[in-house]
Amino acid sequence: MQNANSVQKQNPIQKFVVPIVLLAFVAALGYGLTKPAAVNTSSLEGKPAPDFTLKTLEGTDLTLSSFKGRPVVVNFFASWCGPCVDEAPMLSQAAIDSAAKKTVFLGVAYSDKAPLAKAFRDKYNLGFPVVMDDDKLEAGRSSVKYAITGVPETFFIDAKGIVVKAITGPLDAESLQAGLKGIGAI
Amino acid sequence: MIRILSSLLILLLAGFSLAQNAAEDARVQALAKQIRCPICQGLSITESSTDFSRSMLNELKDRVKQGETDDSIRDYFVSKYGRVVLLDPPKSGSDLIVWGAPLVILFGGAAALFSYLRRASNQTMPEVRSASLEKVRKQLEESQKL
Repeated sequence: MQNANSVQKQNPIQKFVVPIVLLAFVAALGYGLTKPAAVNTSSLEGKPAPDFTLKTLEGTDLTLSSFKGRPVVVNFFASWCGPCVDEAPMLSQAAIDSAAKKTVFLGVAYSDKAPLAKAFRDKYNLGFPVVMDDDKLEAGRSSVKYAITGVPETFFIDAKGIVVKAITGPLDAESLQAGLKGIGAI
Repeated sequence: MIRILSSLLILLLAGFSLAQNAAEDARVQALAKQIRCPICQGLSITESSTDFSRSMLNELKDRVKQGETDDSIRDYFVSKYGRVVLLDPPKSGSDLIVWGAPLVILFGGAAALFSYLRRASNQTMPEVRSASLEKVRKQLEESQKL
């Protein structure tokens, strides 16, 4: 006969496995919430720079691959973009400083109008070619080729045509210098 | 006679071209619904009106026109933007966890609930010793006498 006061014994699986599973779940959740966000790196780094042909503000065709053999800095910007305004004087000066290494600076105006891009170039004395992104033509769809998700974005391409560094967001003096060094532009 | 035949041929070609365009449009729409707008919250490039989505949609249309396969087009966007560009993760590799985890949790929960309910329904009343029963009966009788 069963003793009336006997306490029902807990199944060992219930006793240990359930708390362990719950603990593991909470630990995974905590790790996911607290781990530092992954550094935003472009899928293009280390790969050949996608080519494009775009119209300059003067209306002539400019093909990126025509600069092969020289370090190239491609800067996606827009006249309506605040951080682009902040970095424009830095880019203008860097273009002058790295001229001895025959470095090419190229501005790609994204989602912009040519007169506004021209005014931007003149206001900030950008002494390098500025082209207009053109998403209607396959050859000109530079924003997709470079998978940009905002402006500004800057790509540092070495003389072999490889994207050495991509910077999402505004440049600062340090990142600009590092990028230029990486492609042998200074 | 020649005029009638040539008219029929033109009509036939026009019909074929229309049907081909409709099929291409349907493919574009179906594929575009699977591609995420990279700057939006869970919107496909057909639902979003950003310039980025428009550019991606134009790229997708060109690739469909060039006769690329669905997989090749998806792979192109993944190579550019990463796997996050796909609204539905592929049902392979580590992405299987995303699809499998809810099912595992659902079936696990159902099994736990079933097991709990079965145990609860099988629970028997604790047996009472006859000595105790006798004691209670006596107490009841005494209280009735009073």
